[in-house]
Amino acid sequence: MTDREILDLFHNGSSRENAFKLLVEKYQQKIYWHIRRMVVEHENANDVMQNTFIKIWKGLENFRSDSQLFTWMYRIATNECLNYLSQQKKHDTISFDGTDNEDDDSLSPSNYVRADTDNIDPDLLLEKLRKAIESLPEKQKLVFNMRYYDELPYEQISEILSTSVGALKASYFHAAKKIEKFLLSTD
Amino acid sequence: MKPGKNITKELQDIAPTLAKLDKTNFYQVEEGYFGGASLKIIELIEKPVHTEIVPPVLCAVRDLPLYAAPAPDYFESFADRMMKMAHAEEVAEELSYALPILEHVEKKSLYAVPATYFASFPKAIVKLVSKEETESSVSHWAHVWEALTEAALSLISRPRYAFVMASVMSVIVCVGLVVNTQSSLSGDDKIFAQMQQIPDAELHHYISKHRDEFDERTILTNINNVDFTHYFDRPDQVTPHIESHSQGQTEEEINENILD
Repeated sequence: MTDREILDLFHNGSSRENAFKLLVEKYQQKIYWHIRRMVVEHENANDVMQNTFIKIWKGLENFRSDSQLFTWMYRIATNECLNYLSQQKKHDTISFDGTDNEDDDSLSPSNYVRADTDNIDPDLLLEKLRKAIESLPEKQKLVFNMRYYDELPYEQISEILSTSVGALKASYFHAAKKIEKFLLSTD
Repeated sequence: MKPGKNITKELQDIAPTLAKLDKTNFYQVEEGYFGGASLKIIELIEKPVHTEIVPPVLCAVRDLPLYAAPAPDYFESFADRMMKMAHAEEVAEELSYALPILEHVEKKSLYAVPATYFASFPKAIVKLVSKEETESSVSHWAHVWEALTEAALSLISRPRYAFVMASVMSVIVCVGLVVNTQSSLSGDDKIFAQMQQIPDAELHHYISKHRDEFDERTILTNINNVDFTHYFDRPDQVTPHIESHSQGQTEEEINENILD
């Protein structure tokens, strides 16, 4: 079913809940993984998912097709993630000490020793990748996930994050280089 | 300079004699060939060629589709899928120089999710939003009521409006009381309505298990079609009759008579 058909069904009035259910079924996995990659724990991801879809439900009535429905939903999910993470930061002063900004370079110590990646166990490589992504600053993490995993065009990411395409490209390359350095390290 | 002039100049440099010659055509075609060629070709296309040598069995199946039609949304979603593939290629290409180490690493999920999560989530979220909507509606009316009460109280506190507001509120309270105490159904009607909802089988079962004195009396009454329940239900009519028999007897004597 297309987004247009779902929206028409929703605006029909009598089948609002049914239309909403179809929408959830269609996009839940994409939205979930987008959130999960940001907040990491399933329980937290589930909370953010619920808040996201409640907001979508409330906003769907006034949604006008100026942007793609999926982009709009992604934007809500992203905002919910960032809200959640900022609340977490306020409560957790141990893990987050205010160093989380775009200039944070925690993944790129200058004296990384180059590892032989051909001999790295694939599971170990994935584990290192997970750690590397989790250690990225929030915005870089968002951009990297949306580009690497969701394979979204920069134009769409730009609409979701309200950031210029140029800045997004720079952010993605910055994140990619940090991750590469981390993966090549022998730690 | 035009390309034709370039070519002529080039030829003059290479072979000046040849450049001076007229470009005559060595070959000829019959007159009207180009004018009628397209028509002849169309004629050939439209004309069924060798129809008579096609076996009848092939003629029968000729119009049947050789291949199954694609899924209904195949063409609808084709452009989207192509765009997605194009983006994926773009990302892969970008990755090859931004992060070559991951170029050949499979994009596996880094996290696990409970098995039934996606199956149960849509139902759960629909339930949640319905609940949320009901609560927000209730809270909206609570706010409205609160605002009205506050406004009324503030008006009552002013001596100028106190009497008017008190009167209005008294009327509202009275109307509310009247409306709340009135019922759409009388007591008997309510019982009857409830009885209507009880299935016959359940009633039969109950009667068979709970046949007490009252029920027997009722049944007897119905059978004989004689209403003598008032003999049992109105002690004031029964008492004089008993009293006439028991006049002058003590309680012990009465008991003795009963035992006899």
